[in-house]
Amino acid sequence: MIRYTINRILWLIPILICVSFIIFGLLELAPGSIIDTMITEEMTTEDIEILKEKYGMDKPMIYRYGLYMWNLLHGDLGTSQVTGLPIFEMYMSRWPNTLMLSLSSLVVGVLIAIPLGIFAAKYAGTIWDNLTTGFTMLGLSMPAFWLGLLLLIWFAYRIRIFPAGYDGTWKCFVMPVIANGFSMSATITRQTRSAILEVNRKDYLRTARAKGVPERQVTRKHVLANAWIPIITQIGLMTAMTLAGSAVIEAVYSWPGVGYMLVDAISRRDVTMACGTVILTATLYVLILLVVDIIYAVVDPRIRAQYTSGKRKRRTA
Amino acid sequence: MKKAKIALCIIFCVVLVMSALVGCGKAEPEDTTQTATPPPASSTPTASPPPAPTQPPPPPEDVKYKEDIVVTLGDKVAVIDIFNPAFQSSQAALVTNMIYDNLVYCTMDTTYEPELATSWETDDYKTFTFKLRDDVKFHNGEPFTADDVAFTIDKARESVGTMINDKFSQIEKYEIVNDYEIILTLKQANVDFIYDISYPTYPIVNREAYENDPDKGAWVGTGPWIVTDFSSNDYIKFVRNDNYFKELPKAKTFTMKYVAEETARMIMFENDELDFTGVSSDKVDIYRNDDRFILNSYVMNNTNFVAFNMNDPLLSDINFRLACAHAFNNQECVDITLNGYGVAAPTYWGYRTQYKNTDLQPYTYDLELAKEYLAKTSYNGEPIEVICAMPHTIKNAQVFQSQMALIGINIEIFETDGATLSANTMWGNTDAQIVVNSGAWSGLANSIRNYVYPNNNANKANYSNPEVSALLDQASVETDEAKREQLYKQVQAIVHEELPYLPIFNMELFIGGQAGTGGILFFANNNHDYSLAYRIID
Amino acid sequence: MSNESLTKSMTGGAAETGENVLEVKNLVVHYVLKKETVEAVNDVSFTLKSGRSLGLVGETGAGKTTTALAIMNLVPNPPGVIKSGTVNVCGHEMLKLKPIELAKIRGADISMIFQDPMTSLNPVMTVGNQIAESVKLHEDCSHSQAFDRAVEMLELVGIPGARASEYPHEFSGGMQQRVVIAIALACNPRVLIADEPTTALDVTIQAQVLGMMSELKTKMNTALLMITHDLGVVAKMCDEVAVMYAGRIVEKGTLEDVFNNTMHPYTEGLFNSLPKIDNRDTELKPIPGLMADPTKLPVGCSFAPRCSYATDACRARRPEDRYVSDTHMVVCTAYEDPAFHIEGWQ
Repeated sequence: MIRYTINRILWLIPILICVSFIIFGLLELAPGSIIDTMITEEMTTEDIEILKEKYGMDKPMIYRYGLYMWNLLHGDLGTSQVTGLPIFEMYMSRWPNTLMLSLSSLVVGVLIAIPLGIFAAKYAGTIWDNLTTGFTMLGLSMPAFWLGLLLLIWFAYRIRIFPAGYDGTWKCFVMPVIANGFSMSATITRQTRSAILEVNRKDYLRTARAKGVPERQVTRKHVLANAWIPIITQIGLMTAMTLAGSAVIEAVYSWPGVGYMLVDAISRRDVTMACGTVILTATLYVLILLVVDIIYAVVDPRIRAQYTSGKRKRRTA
Repeated sequence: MKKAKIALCIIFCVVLVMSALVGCGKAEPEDTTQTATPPPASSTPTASPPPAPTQPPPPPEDVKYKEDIVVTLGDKVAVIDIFNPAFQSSQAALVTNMIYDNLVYCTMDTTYEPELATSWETDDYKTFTFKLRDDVKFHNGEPFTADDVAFTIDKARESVGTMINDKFSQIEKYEIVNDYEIILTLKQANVDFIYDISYPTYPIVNREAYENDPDKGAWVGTGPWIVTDFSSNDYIKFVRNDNYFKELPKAKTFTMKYVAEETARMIMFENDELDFTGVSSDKVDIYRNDDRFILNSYVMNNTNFVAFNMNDPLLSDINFRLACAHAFNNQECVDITLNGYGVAAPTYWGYRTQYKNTDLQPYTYDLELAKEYLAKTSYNGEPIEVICAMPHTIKNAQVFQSQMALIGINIEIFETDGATLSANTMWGNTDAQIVVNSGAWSGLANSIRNYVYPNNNANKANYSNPEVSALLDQASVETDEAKREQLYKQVQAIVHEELPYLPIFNMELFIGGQAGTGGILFFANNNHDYSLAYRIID
Repeated sequence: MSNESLTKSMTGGAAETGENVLEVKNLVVHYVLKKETVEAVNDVSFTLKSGRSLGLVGETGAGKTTTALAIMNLVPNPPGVIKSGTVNVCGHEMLKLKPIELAKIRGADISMIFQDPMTSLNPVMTVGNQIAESVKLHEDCSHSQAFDRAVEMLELVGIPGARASEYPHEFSGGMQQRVVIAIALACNPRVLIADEPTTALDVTIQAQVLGMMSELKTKMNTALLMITHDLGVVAKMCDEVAVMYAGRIVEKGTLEDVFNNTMHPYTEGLFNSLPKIDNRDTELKPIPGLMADPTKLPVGCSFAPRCSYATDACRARRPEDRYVSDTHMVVCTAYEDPAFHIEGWQ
């Protein structure tokens, strides 16, 4: 198990190298560079040349990339070419906001989704199930920013309960959490429902009932215990996605999170910033997925056995 | 039952397809027909442009003022540091007006008042002697002295690639006579030097602050507000500098923040979460007659233009440009893009820029004449690419496209973002054939240099005329004002005839405030001074 | 509950031999689908005494599993509907009880084991816990006591007790089936229904498992309802035999009755279709035709279309139960003619 975990963490290195290369390459290929966002009307071409030199734009991309990677491998994410501030600090100063928003949305989403999914699975094929499916369809097809804007108009404008902007109190949490949580809950509900329906077909439920397990215990210990795996996968993925920050929700609610950082970095062609943000996000994804896989091992002994490959028991007749 | 289900399915599919098609319709520009549609009934276009903003009346005494003022910025502010090229943006002056001061203060009417300097003298516009105030302290407690002026000049000269570097590089040397007197000598005479050093984004900063505090030293100035908190790209928080040597603001704390989403911003404004915010022309009518709000407006100096790439074989033919000029109806641009809130520009010159040549005749709208000129060119119906980046320039491009189509010119619009536009329209390296953009103009006539002098980034037309360049060089050292005026008017005439640029309009901009607000100094070049903004609450 | 009394109940100090522990009367079960109704079980009746074993034989689709599920009242509903009949297990009317009460009886008085051991066990619970779960449900004891009992049961079925904390995927098919049996017998039920318990296992394992079941049956005095399509298994394990076809028991009697004194044409056909070990050259004799379609059962005898002895009377009306001795029953209209007899299987 430890070996497995270490193995996965070691995979971070090639992943990050790939990711940084791709982002770096894409931004370099995009027309325009960071200089273009800084030049003003009165500048002459000489000024622009000087700026180019200052930011290393006169050297080939490989040189800049090499320099960046060299720093990266020393654990230095570098500084933003725009602000001059260290990227890690900039990211970390905004990350708690994204974290709070994400975790709250996740909690809300899961609290809605799992009971709803169980409910839909229980009444599968009936009108309740169809209503739930309609609800999840709504959640899946509504773009988050649209719902975000709608909530803004209803609750900040028509009925003034919540503030339209970020003011640091608990009130400004409500709308973005609902907007975010609603779309998350849609996917998780569907996943829960199908996972439970899948397990409901299994024979071991019949065995359990045949030995006299009451229905509630069947649901708890036999159905849910086996249905967790696909549900956990989904929740894990959603956690990773939401922790990466949602640029759209943050724009709508002026939330000072990390999602917008990446968008901003790209429009300013701030390559180090963009790379840095993506690298941090990728690391987050990898770690979260690792945690999800470890949870699998806790929940499902068959997977646990796969991980501890050195200790496989021989099956005896 | 089965048939009913099939029927229902078909109906749903039809509804879906129809609703998808409805969405398609909105993408096209609103008006592509020949007949100039009258502007929408609800708007009252400014028949005569609004008067120039005047100095606002002094705020009344004996009333209660709101202690905290909140305004929104038009764009993100990433850093606060006058020497960092990343600071250069449309919002920079708003921030510097709050925190710093210059030696000389340039008023809204382009007259000069003492600020950090008590007086200045020059005989030849080459050597300037400044006497400085002796009672000013920076926000960190350090006294303001000639040494800080020297530091600012030195640091500016180091910061290559920035505007402040350009402006201060013209200073060949300085001599510190004593703590409160300094003599600057320029490399060559420049009649507009006082304007340059009075520009709000080239203020005086403190040596000790920069040297001792690398993180926040750049935020230290002598101005009426002190930065307490700055979150890059989000907000800046200020607290009043109670030791300020000029007029003290009525408010005690100030917040400038950036709200990305316009809907959210307008809701915040209506909910009274903001005291001031910019209002776009399509929203003006909502607030115009609402007593809860005050709408401040002014016409911007900046002129939107259509630039023809003079290096392009087709466009360098004057007949083509004349054809476009006669087919272009810029009032229609005002009506469509700005809802009527703007002035169709007769000339390319800045709206309130000095020495405007009002004798020049704008090109008449005459489609037949335009077609005649077009026939003289080698144009064969091939598509011509127009590049643009900002929302209103994109709309202008679309109007231009529809109008040129009337005489048979096929325009293709390439919409992109700021950085790409910049990269594609570098002097001498322009791929684009036509650029629709906005040109910044100060109150000074020498702004024209940006657009007609070779090697300038703003010269999107790749225009280069040695005669014009010579005239401009002459004007920058001409000390006699009447003669200077003549020179600039001559330049305007030549450029008008050669038509590298088609003027479009000057936008009327609106800053909305809650009832009881006031105190903003509006500058036609958008470098507003918010430092004395107040709000009366009763 | 002390360990002593646990052990005591294990060694069958409960039922007296001879008492009726399972009575099924006129059981009718249909599966109601949208377009058709599957008449799975049509008027099945039999009784089982404690300590005895009954083999329920028939081809796939005869309705054996449905009967077994109906006895436990586990027929999936929808689409299964128990139309009529009664099932009495140790005095309890299974079809009339509420789920809570049923849960108390299942596992305690009557248990069932299923065909495919690989899917019958919960993959995320240890085998020990799965056995202990049953014990805890029916007997008032602590978890560790229940687990101890689980270990004992494993030993009883021939699995080392130390493996109680392992998971089902760590066992082979045969061992999994043993675990299933251990679960079923953990609370010493009076009746055990075994639905094709060895069909999924290979022959050598089959012999082991059957042998073990036989032993346990004797030791614990459990009544066994053995459902199978394999006549050899019946011969080895059962005292009585019931042959099912198209949802009806067409012949029922002691092993002797049915094997040596076969009366129903279908039973004859079954025996005839077995390959003969001492006469390998002869051709196999399958029963002609296909199994009756349970959605479209004919008016008269369901076997008539395939029966070489069928008469018009057979096709015209539903045959009745006919007792030819105390123990031997046959359902065949042809026997109205006292002279009629099948040829018998060779």
